[in-house]
Amino acid sequence: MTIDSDSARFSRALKKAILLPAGVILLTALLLLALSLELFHMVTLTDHSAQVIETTGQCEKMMLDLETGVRGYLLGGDAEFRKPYDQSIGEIDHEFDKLKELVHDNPEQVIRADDLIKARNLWIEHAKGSLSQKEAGQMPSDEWRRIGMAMMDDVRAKFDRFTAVEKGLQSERRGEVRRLKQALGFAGVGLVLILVLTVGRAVQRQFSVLAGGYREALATIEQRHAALARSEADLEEQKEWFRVTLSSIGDGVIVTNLEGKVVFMNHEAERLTGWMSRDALMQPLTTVFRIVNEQTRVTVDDPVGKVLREKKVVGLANHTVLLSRLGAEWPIEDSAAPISNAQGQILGVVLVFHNATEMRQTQNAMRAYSHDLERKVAERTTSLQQAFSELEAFSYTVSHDLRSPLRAMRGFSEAVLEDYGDKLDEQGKDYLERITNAAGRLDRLIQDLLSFTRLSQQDASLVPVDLDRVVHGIIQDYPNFHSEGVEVKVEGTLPKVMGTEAIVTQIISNLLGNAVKFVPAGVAPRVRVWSENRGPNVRLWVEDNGIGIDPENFERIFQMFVQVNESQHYKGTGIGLAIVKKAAQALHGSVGLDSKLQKGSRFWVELARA
Amino acid sequence: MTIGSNAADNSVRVLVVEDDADDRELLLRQLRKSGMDSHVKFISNGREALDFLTTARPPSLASELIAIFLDLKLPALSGLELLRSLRQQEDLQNIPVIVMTSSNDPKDLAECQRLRVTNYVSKPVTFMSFSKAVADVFHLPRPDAAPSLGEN
Repeated sequence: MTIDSDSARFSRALKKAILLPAGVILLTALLLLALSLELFHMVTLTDHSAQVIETTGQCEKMMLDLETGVRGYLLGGDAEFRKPYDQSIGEIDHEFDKLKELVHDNPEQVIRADDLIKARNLWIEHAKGSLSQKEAGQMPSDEWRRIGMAMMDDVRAKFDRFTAVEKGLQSERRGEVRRLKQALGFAGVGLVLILVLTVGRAVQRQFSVLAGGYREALATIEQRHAALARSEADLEEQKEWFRVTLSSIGDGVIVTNLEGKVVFMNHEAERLTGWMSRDALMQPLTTVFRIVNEQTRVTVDDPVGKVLREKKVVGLANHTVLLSRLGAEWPIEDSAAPISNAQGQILGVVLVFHNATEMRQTQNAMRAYSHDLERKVAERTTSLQQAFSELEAFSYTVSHDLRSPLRAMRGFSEAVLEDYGDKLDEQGKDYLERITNAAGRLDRLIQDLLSFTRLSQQDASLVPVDLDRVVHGIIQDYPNFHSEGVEVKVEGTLPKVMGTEAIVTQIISNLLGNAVKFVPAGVAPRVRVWSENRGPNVRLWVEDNGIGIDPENFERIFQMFVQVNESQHYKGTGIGLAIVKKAAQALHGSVGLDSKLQKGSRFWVELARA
Repeated sequence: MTIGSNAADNSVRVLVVEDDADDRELLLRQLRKSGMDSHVKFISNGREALDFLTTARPPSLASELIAIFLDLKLPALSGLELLRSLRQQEDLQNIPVIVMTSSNDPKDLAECQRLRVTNYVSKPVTFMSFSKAVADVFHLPRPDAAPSLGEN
């Protein structure tokens, strides 16, 4: 049942409780009033009867006075004895009229009154006669007097009758009054009883309804109260849980309201700031949370103020130190965030901070370590670079110095051959040629080794290289590629690749060199060069019609100093393909070959397309 | 072993800047064959050579000199440096310079081209390499057609 229908019922009950008895009481009052009015009327009537009787008495008395006067005069003859008659005769009409007036409501009595008046008048007339006779000096006769007395008796009788009736009426009325009083009494009592009973019961019922409604309302209130108490208990529990949780957080937590005054501090915050929570309550944050720059000791911007202005999460600047109330200070890290409700309104700010001493130390240690590391790396790099350049210089010098005696050997062998050749036999010339050839081989070997070493050292930054230009250039520049009987054909236009001019040149000259070299005796070298797109790469093919390579040597052939042919027939250092492989790798590419013995070879090198 | 005659400074017609003794001997042999050996000056140091061509120059040099043989790998001053300085001399701008080289370094060769090297003699100096290179300069009959880099 809702509060509303409860209260409606309640007011209905209230109405019943009040109106009903009020109504009944009113009715009873009206009844009693009616009875009282009746009684009053009866009493008035009774009183009226009494008045009539009294007036009748007066009239009788007056008649008596008349009679006395007459008699007295008749007896005494003195005017003084006639006084009662004289006094009353004037008023007697008036009095009798009064009487008639009084009984005008009772027609029977009016008739009687008239009769009475007639009888009276008769006597009065007779009396007047009596008086006149007396006045005349005559004494009325006994007869006369007896007539007079009989008239008076009649009058008296009528009086009596009149009075009796009136008295009867009166006693009737008195009885009526008595009865009315009784009735009133009984009725009153009875009614009061009934009233009490019904009204009481009705009232009681209404009151019990009222009480019921009240009880229900109370019960509802009780329930609500209980529910409220439960939610309050829950709330308290939650608050307690939060309080405990917040207190257990290893970081300091301070919550402020919209004005930047502290409304909550957890235990860690108390510890770090040196303020007790109860002292800090409603203090401005800057009083409790005093932060300065580590070095300059200048007060740092209040993070809460910033959050309230910018309405977003704010972190602290570095090198901030918190000054405790107790004199200590700690480097801290913090962040402040706005607290918003579901509608997005900002309710306050929560500031979380922790002692960063350890972290600071760790950071410093790490910084020192990384500086150290950087320094070491720099040192190593320098020494490596030094080593490299030394090596380069060394290999350059080595090659130069190694080659120069070889030059001498070749040169002077040639010189002997040229100048003194005619003094030598075939054997002698042959020996000299061998010396020259051997020197030449060594020279080439040294050059190849130098190239190979250089490849390791180079830190090639790749640029686009025009394959087409390089290939055609090599073919043009090197006579062994365009001499008699040698055919080197380039199919299509070769694309650009990522590499360096030097390395690409090296690769191609080695591959082309091999292609024209390793042909069977008497066969004219036919070399075909073309390119193929393979995704982001370009694969350059060099195909020859040479002696071919046994598939089991495909891997070995790219190794250092490996020559899979008989080295006497074909001049080679065994480094050429190793250089090609190393060079391709330096350009982040790859090499490979396909071949069949006696059926020629197809070497390929794959590089990134530019 | 004979080093070869060193011409008097005011009759120098061929200057050879080369530090290696064997290379020098081989070149001299070729010059001898061409009959130029009496007017050859040998300098084995780059700086010395530069001085000879510039500050310490004999007065008749510009008119007498017909060729310079230049080795690229020299102590004190590299052949290229020397060549650069040489070409900055107004009266030596057009003098034939023949570079003696054992290297195929494209960087060096490109630079030589730029400095207007007349020709190359590949080392070790043989009759073939020499005669090809100097045919134009010394007005000798060419052994064959176009000048080239020489054998590799």
